[in-house]
Parts: sequence; C-alpha cells; structure tokens
Amino acid sequence: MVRVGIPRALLYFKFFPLWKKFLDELGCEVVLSPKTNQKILEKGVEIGFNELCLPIKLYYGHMAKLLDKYPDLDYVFIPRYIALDTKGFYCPKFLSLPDAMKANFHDMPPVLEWEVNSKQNLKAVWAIAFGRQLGMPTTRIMDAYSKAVHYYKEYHEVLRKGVPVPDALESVEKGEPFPDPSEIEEKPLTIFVLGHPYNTFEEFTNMSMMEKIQEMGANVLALENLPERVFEHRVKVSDKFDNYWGNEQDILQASNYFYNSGADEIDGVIFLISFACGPDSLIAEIVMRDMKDRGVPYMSLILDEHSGNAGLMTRIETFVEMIKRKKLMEVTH
Amino acid sequence: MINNCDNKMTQTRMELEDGSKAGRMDMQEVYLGIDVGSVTIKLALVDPSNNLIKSTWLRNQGSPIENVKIGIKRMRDELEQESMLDSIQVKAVGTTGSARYLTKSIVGGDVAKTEIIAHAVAAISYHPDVRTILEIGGQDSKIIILRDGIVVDFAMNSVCAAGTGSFLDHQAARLGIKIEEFGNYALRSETPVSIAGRCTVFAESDMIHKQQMGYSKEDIIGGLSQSLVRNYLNNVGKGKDIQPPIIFQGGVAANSGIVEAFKESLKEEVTVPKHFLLMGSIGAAILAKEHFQENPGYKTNFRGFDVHDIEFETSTFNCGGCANNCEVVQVKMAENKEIVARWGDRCGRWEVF
Repeated sequence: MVRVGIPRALLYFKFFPLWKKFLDELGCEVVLSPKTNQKILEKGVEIGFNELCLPIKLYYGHMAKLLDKYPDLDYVFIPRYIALDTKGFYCPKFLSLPDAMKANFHDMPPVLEWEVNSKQNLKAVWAIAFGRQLGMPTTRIMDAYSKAVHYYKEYHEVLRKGVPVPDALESVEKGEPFPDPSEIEEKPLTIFVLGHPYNTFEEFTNMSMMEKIQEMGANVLALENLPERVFEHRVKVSDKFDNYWGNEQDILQASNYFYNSGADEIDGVIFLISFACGPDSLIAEIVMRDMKDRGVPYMSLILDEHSGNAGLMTRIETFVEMIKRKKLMEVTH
Repeated sequence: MINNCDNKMTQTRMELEDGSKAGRMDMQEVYLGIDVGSVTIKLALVDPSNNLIKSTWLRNQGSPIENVKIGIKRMRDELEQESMLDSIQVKAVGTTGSARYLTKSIVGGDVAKTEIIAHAVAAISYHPDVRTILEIGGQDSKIIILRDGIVVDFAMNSVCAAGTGSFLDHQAARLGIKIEEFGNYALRSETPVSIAGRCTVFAESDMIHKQQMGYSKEDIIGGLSQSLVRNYLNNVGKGKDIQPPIIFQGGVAANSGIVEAFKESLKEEVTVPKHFLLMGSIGAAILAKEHFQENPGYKTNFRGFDVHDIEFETSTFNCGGCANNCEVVQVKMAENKEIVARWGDRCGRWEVF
C-alpha cells in the first residue's frame, strides 16, 4: 500500500477529512505527524525564518517530525491552495508551501501536490491532476473525489449541529463514525471564537483555550459550527475596499452575520490571531468596528511562540467574567 | 471560651439587624482582599459597606508565598496593636493579581478573580459613575471601559511592559533620583524634550542621548512622562472609547507627572482615588463579600491570620509523560506534606488547586 504522510498543521485543520477520504479511496494509507508539542514548536521556530507567522513555523516543525517518525514514506502530501473562488487569493505563504518545503527538506520523499486554483479550473479538474501523480485512471479518481466531497459535506453537517472540530477530526483520523451531537450540554453563555482553524484548534499554541472557556461555564462556537447560509454570499467591505484575501472571507462572513441577525445567538466574540499575520491584522480592525457598532463584547488575542499562559488566561477569565456580570445586571434590572 | 465567642457573634448579628453600627468590641464582619502583583503585594480589609478598615502593602521581592505571609503577619500585628484582632471576623477572602491562584491556595482564599475585574469593582464602589479606568502597575497596564456600572471593554498590555512602574523605577535609579521625586521633576519641566516612547529599550537609549546632549533632568523626565502616556494611549488604549469620568489607579498614579500628562493628552479631568494603590485588593475583598452574600451559610477557607506560622515547601519536577516535558510546581504544607497547590502541566494530570 502506498503510504502518504501529512503534517498535522495549517490547512489540516480545515481540509483533512476531504484529503483523507480522497487518499483512502485512491488506496493510500494516510499517516500524520503527532499533535503539536514543545519539541515540534521548537523545531519549527528553528527551521522557519524569523519573519514567518507561527502557523507556518509550526508547519516546518511538523514536516520535520513527520519525516523523522516515518522514514519510509512513499509520498509527502503538501497542499497548495491558491484560490477557492474566482475572487481573491490565499496568503502567499500557502501559495508557495510545496516550494518552501522542497527548498528546506532536501531528502524529502516525492511530494504529492494538492493544488487548487478555482480562478483557472473547477476543483474536479485539480483533483484529476492530483490523482494522476499516483498513476490512477481518471474514472477511479473521479469516483474517489466525489466520495471525498460527499464525506466532507457530511463532516460539515455534523459540525453545524454543534460537534467541536477536534472531536470530529479525531473520528476522521481513526476512521470512526462522527460523534453524536445530542451529547453536547447547553450552558447559559455562548462565546464565539473567531479565527483560522489552525489557530482556534491548535490546542498547543492557544493553550486549550476553547476547553478553558468551557470550564468557565460557557459554550464555545467556531466558524465551523455556524449555519451554512452564513457563508452563501461574499462580503464586500465597501466600494473602495474589497477583501483581497481568499482565506479571510469566512471570517468576514461570520462578522457580518453577528453584525446582523446572529448577534442574539452569542454573548461575545474572541478573535484569535497569529502574530505577523498580515491579512488578519487588516480584517481584525473591520471585525472590531462591526462588533463595537453592534454592541457585541469583543476581544482579540494575538498568539506567538513567546505567548505566556498567564497573560492569555487573565484576558480570557476577565472576558468571560465581564459577560457573566453584564448578564447578571441585565437580569436584576 | 467557645460560648463566649458565640455570644459575641449573636450580639453582633442582632445589632447589625437593628441597623446600628457594631461597636469596637463587637465582632465585626470583614472581608480580606489580597492583590499579589509582580512588584508589590497589597492587602485590604473592608467592612460590609466596602469601607477600608485596614490595609498594608509591601514589595514582592523573591518568593510571593513568603511575602504574602509577611503581609498577613503585618496586618495581624497592626490589628493586635489597635486591639482590633479579637473584634473582627473574616467572612471571606478574595485574591487577585498574577499570583491569585497561588495565594488562594496558601492563605485559604474563597475567590480568585483577575485584576481587571477587581480594579473595576473597587472603582465602581467608590465612584459609581466611572466610565474609564486607567490602571498602571508594576508590570501591567490596563484600560477598563465601563457604562452604567458594567465593564463593557478592556485591554491589557501584552508582552511589552513599556511605561509601567518597574521601568520608571529603573529610570529613576539611573538618573539618580528617588522614584517619589519623579513626578515633581516632571512638573517642573518647562519644555519637555521629545523621547521615543514606543519601546522602553529605545526610550532608554534616547534618554541617555538627551542627557549627553545636556538637557536638564526635569525636561527629560517631563518628556518621558508624555511619551509614556502617548505609548499607553496608542497601545493599551487603542480603539477604546475613553469617556469621562476617568479614574487613574495603580502604583503609577502616585506619579504626578504622569497624571498631568494624562490630563493634557486626554483633555479631560483625571481623578486619582484616595486608595489608588490598594484598589485591586479592595476589589478582591468586595468580590469575596459578593461570594459570601451569594452563598447563604458560606464558610470561609481562610487559614486565619496565623497563616504566617505555617511552613510551605515548594518544589518543581519535570513530568516526562510526553514530549512537552512540562515543569510542574507543587506547594506542600511542611508539617503534614499535604499538597495545597500543583500546576504548570498542560494536560491537567497533576493539577491541584
């Protein structure tokens, strides 16, 4: 069986179920680097050059760990997401990811490149190009791809019912059925954690903040848990300024939703940002203004490899406490 | 003896229900707040009407555990001297500051809340109409925005400690003046020089440069105060809706130069409350009171004012359970080896609060 390794970083948190099912159906065995730990972080910071954002540094660390753990890999899977619609681009670091890896890891096994550029072709066309790298006939690739797309849809339906992304990803990895959404207990507060999935679900660098917010007595929701209609229409910021970044679109859509009808469904928004993320720094300003206008409690948290647990926890504790006290006042008055 | 105590308590309760004030020899209900910051430790004892009965503060040098014990002992001794020790009863203890959980375990606290909440609660209690709180401490600076007595927004400095108390301490020492004099120097300045205040590393080299150029200490300190305020407003205060009444608290509020610079920058009156240094600890005490009142029949975990006689042992070990190899800290009571606190692990397998 062909063995394919995937670093557990970056878009793994967004597209892994699609990739995994596609590769499974093409008859490959998928292995992942372990969950982020101190050593992986240190390795990534050591290899990745200084100006990179933390998630990319982590990708380097995970690649190193993957190659070290599985020296017998047939392929390394590296995504190259260029554009998912006809407008805007992904961040340049995503566009150049396979090249950056090849330039750094010289003894790497052959790279299976998963390129998606909807400006040029339909996603299915890219899927065929991907399958060809494994020497597969088109009919088999198309069959595998349509099964993967179907599975990815199912995955999103489960998330929209409120299942947390880490739980769903775990079942994908183990090849088990998705967890049951009915087991989720309801709490009096709901905090929305906004951000790229490689920030919000990277438990090592965000110090399991989702879990900690839950322990403080609040429900935690993420982009992935929002209704499908939130993401149906592209958000245009203004006539003068349109969002250029493909991977910021869903963040703007969520912000737009909370600016309108969605405001009643949540009690506060925390935007988790990686230090040195250019697109986030622009979008965060827009989100902040939207939330302020709408009177939704808002806080942004910036993560980097030097983040101290104490400072992060103080902010989260204060944010949750602030909302609790606010609600209490509303009830008593 | 026990009977005697009970009598006293009943008497106090009856008197309080009458609406009359508890006399000096009656058992007065009090709440203790402890604010363990990075540079100083503050303790405050408040009555049920949030009046400050007793307070003390000390520098937090070395071990916070030892210093908290010293602080409690100091408070105990002062209460004893004024023969108040037997007439008060601590109903609940609140802790705040960066060592709030550690302190809660050591003294037997009832609530541990963040310093932002504690500062806000104290400020609201003394100035119910406050809409903006500026707070600068030893290592932290914060801004708290309130509307109708509710915190609606806040911010705290991140990794950068530019313009906080410890930087001012350091600069005062470098210029050879007492920190207490710092504000007066700034106020005497007629043409404050421009100092790069974005980062203290740059500020310091800029200050040295200006000194070498021959500018007076007054004008350098005046310029520094202005640039620190600018830095605070541009970083911590960025995007915040600063509305009067504005209250300035925390240790740096003692610095009249900074207070003036805030007034000038904001073009608003800035009030420094009487107990500006103690606001965190007063807030912690009020939060303890809230906790006590919300839970009928609540019994405090407080180990008592004799907590300074209890020996604690701290030790550290590396877990080794996974690649993270977390450094776990534990605090034990020396006498019976009971673990009062243990943390530092990411996964929570060792955690004891």
